[in-house]
Amino acid sequence: MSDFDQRLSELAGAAAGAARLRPAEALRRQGQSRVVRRRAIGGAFLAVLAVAGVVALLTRGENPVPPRLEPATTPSVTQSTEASPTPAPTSGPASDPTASPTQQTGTLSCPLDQLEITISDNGRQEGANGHVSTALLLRNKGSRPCTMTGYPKVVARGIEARQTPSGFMGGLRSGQPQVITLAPGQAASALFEALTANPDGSTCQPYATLRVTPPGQQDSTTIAWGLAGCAEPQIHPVVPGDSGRA
Amino acid sequence: MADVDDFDTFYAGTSRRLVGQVFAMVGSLSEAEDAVQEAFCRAWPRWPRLRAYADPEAWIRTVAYRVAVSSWRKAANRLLAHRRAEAEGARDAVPAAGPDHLVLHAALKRLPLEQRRVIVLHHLVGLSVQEIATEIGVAPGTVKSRMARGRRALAEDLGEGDHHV
Repeated sequence: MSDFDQRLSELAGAAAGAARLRPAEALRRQGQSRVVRRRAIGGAFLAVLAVAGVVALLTRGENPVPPRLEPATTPSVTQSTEASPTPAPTSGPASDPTASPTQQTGTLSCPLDQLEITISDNGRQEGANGHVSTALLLRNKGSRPCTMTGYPKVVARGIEARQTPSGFMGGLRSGQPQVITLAPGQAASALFEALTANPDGSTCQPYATLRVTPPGQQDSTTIAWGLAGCAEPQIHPVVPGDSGRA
Repeated sequence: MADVDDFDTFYAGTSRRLVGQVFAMVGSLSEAEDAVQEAFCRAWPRWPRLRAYADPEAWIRTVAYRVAVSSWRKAANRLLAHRRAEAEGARDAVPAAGPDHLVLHAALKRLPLEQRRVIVLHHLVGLSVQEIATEIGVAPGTVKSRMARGRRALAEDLGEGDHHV
């Protein structure tokens, strides 16, 4: 079986490598122009189109939403400069529900030696399609509050993870990264994700460790990472809660 | 702009792998290329909604497969593909290197499409029976029987060494 899997994987990998693909921009333009065209035709033909659309859906099998996909839970985090942001409704042990992160000015940002950085089990997810993620948990182990905002810097096997608001596995789905104030003992999290194979389908060695620099800091620490991710690392912003998702 | 970056990153990260998977399912590289790109075209206008789902890659794969096997589209594109094949020589046959790959490719192509699809989803994509059932919209029992028949046919085709496939 593994021999068959191996050969099948090589065959597919060869096709993947030989594929000639247009740039993403061209596909976006083509997809968009169809929508525009469809809207332009609109008006009196709308009803006709609706019927035709249903027929097309049935006959061509274009199903916009295959049934297996379920909406990701996206806890809403209010983005406001005055009100305190709502913590993501996670039940993990990391976040103290009573101590909601508040936005303050005048509090010092969290230095590395005031933080305990670990992997949160709550953010762990291994997709069937070669995407894995874990949340990095940043806990204030000091005795006074500190703040952080934006992206940790994460280096995996010499490669700096791309800093993106959200990726395949989640992250900050909307709005800007907030300023998060951590009371002593409180934690926030940032989602780290990677692929479990090279983009061309070939295999790669999982990252054993991640080197993490807290947002806005210079010093870094290295933590062990147990998942199969080995390519295209991405890090998303620090968000309230322990799942790295908001 | 976040959507654009997000989409482009997703495309860059998944499109080749998806072409490989769809190629294994339909047996033709140019059809797989076309179908996957078509699926990405269709994904873009609904991207904000799609990216909120757990697995846009499965969505693309499903749409691309349907596009590739749609007879309506095949008829429309046959001419185009033909012209291109002529222009590019026999590139499309099998992009793989060894004779081993040729044999496997030929054996896969002899399987009925639906058997090939579940074999690829299981052995290449790595989905469980339950996941395959959800992705293609049939009962798990159907997936199992297609897989069993497909494996049996492949084992016979690929010779003794692969009886345990």
